[in-house]
Amino acid sequence: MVRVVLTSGTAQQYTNGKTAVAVEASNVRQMVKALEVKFPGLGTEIETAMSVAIDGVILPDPFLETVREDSDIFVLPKIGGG
Amino acid sequence: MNEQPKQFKWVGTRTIRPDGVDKVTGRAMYGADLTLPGMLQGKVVRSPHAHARILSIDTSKAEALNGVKAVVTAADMPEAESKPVAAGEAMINFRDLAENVIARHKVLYEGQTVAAVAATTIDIAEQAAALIKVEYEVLPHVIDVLEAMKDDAPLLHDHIFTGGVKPKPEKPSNVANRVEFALGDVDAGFAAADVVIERNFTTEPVHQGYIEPHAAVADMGQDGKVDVWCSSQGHFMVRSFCAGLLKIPMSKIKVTAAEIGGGFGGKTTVYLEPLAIMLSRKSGRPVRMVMSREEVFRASGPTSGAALTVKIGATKDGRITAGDATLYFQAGAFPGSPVGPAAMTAFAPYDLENARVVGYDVVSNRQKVVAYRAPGAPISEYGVESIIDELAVKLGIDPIEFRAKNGAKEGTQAAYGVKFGTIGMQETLAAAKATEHYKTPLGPNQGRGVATGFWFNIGGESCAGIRINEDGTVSLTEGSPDIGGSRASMAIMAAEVLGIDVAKVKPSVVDTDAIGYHFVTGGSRVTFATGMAVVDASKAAIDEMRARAAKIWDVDVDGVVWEDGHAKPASTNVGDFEPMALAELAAMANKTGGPISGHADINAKGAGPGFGTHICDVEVDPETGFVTVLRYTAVQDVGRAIHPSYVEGQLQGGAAQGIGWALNEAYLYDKNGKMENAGFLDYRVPVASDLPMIDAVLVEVPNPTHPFGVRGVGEVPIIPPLAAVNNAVAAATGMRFTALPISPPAILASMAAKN
Repeated sequence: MVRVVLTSGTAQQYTNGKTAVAVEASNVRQMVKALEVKFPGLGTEIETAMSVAIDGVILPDPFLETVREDSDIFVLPKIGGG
Repeated sequence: MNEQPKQFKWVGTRTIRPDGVDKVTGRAMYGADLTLPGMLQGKVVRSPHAHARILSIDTSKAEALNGVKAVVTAADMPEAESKPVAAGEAMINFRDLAENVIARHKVLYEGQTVAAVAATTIDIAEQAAALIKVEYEVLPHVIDVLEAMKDDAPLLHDHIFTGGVKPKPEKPSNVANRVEFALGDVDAGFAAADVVIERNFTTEPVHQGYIEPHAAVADMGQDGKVDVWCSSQGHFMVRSFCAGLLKIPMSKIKVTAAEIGGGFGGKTTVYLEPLAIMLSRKSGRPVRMVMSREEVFRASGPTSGAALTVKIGATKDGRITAGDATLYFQAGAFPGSPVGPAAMTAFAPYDLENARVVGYDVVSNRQKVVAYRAPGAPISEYGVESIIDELAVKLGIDPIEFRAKNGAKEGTQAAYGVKFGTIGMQETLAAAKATEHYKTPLGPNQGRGVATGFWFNIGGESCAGIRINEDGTVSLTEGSPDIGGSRASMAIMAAEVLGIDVAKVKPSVVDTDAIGYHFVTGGSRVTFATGMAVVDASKAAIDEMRARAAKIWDVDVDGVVWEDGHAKPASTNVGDFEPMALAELAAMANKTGGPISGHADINAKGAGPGFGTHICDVEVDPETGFVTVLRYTAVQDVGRAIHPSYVEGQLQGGAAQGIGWALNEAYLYDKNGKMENAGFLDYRVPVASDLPMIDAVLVEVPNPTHPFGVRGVGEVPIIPPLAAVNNAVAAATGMRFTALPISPPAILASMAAKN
């Protein structure tokens, strides 16, 4: 199982306020699919509007990156810039 | 001067920029400089109303005017589907982008495009534009963010239901979205504080202020292929957006990024390009469109005006126990303000156990917000850094020491969730404290302010090509429009890796047909991401040259190494061969397998965040309220300064923009929602005579994920000045200001009230 931490705002929207959730996955694609099944709408939100940070590294287009049981995974809005 | 110990041959040196001579001699080609045979001049018809329904558009008289070759309205653009797309700092809806390019049913701000004309001369185009009759049903408008949130506010869109709240609202609203980031328990944190300060702040919309207006030339052939030249921070973005808006295959659109006279985020979207293509398609001729300065103000996107409430608590020995902020950001006509990044950055410079930030994205009848340098962060950090300063003063603690005590370090979990790796927050504070500036005494009516700033920086898609020419020179191609001297840095990095003189490397920003996809030049990403691609491409070229040397020497390629621009035997065991210089290998390329090159196409990860600390000294004239900036120092962790002059320039430029934001700049609207100060005379940005030389101090804490330790630098420096100036004025006057700009009338009014 991998532990995924959400922002409080995302948690309020999709997981009844639970900011830390766990799913079975070995890469980001599987993780997002599993989150969508468990919390409908969350996977889609992550795919369209969010980045995933794994062990402190923010990935703007996460898809195939490996996630492990001890990975520090955080979901946050996409960041751009000016 | 920021001179670092010699570790590299070229990295860290101040080479002449490759675009410099062309720019100072007028030879550089900007978006408005291109002339093509038969080219027409385009002119836009803009809404005079802040909010109105479009009842009809009659173009017949314009079309009948001699010299007019095409007129377009929204009817000439396919209806756009509702889908999210990345635009600068936020995701926006593609349908909204289309409406912002040319309005279909409603106009939502004064200046919004309603139609466009192409004619043989600009005079005829302007006459034709005046002949286009648009019938409007004027509607009530609302601009102020808090007014727009009220239940009885004029509604801009009947399909917006506030996102980020549960349950989904039943009534549409101008509040497009709510975001929240929280850590720990702020109520418990405030209960543990000895001192709590809470204030409400406001900021006004400010424009990015690029000197060069938007400009584009489009030329569509009869086979449907179109060439576009434009002033843009992202020609691949232009291609993508135009392809999607006009339903043209991307392969049929070639976009060339002209030299650019500033962008700062404001050119990370499209305005004129789709219109120019539509006019070219209809007329069968090239079309040039250039915004006037007034149009730039009325029709392109400034950043949000905002209202914010910030509350911070601390113990008497200066430890912050909790931080809480609520942010209300104007998005302009369509959703998509930078309230998300504003919320994430607000408390990011600090190691807090308890923090919460809630943000609201609110539409109102003004220009659609577009990215402006570290979008959102200057606003939220202005509120936070102002209260941090007030706390430090109240507790009798030096403001830099207060920040150092609470400052983020490696391992700190930011309020937005991510744990920091190697960062330079503490180093910038220490460097600021050590400056001679910080120790200099002040005189009467003078005050000093300090503030910090944080920005994430990003990576993203970049590509690079290295071609070894037959004479041993190198052609370097990449696709990041150069808005800050990045070509010089690319050449430096290539020369460093290849081991050759940087004068032998010619960098070019090429068109969308010549290289792979690049994300926009923005997010402080180019030296990091495109630099990474250049390094990878150079290494690939080196691998090819090692292989050629191996063939020439008839040895295994593992027996060949590359050092100082030469292929050499890895050891004496390989054989007794003279090193072969790059130029020698290049001269023999045709005999050893053909042209030698290397390329890389990447999606760069691991951008290191940046921190800055600024010190501002001001003098406030007690009779006029005029604020003179006496001295300004910008300290920033820059990772590694590939070309120190351009890094220093980023710090100086960002600081100048932030000072203008703090002291002068604001969009002023009349009672009909029309901008009153749409020109540089009345929209007052700082000019050279307004400011002292800004001292830039570069602190290098290398980013471990980049081959040369690069961190993005362009955005951090606009963040601290708003609060640094605010805090300096407070120190000089004894009065705290909570509204920007801190203009002379505002100061005099406060002085009068105090007396």
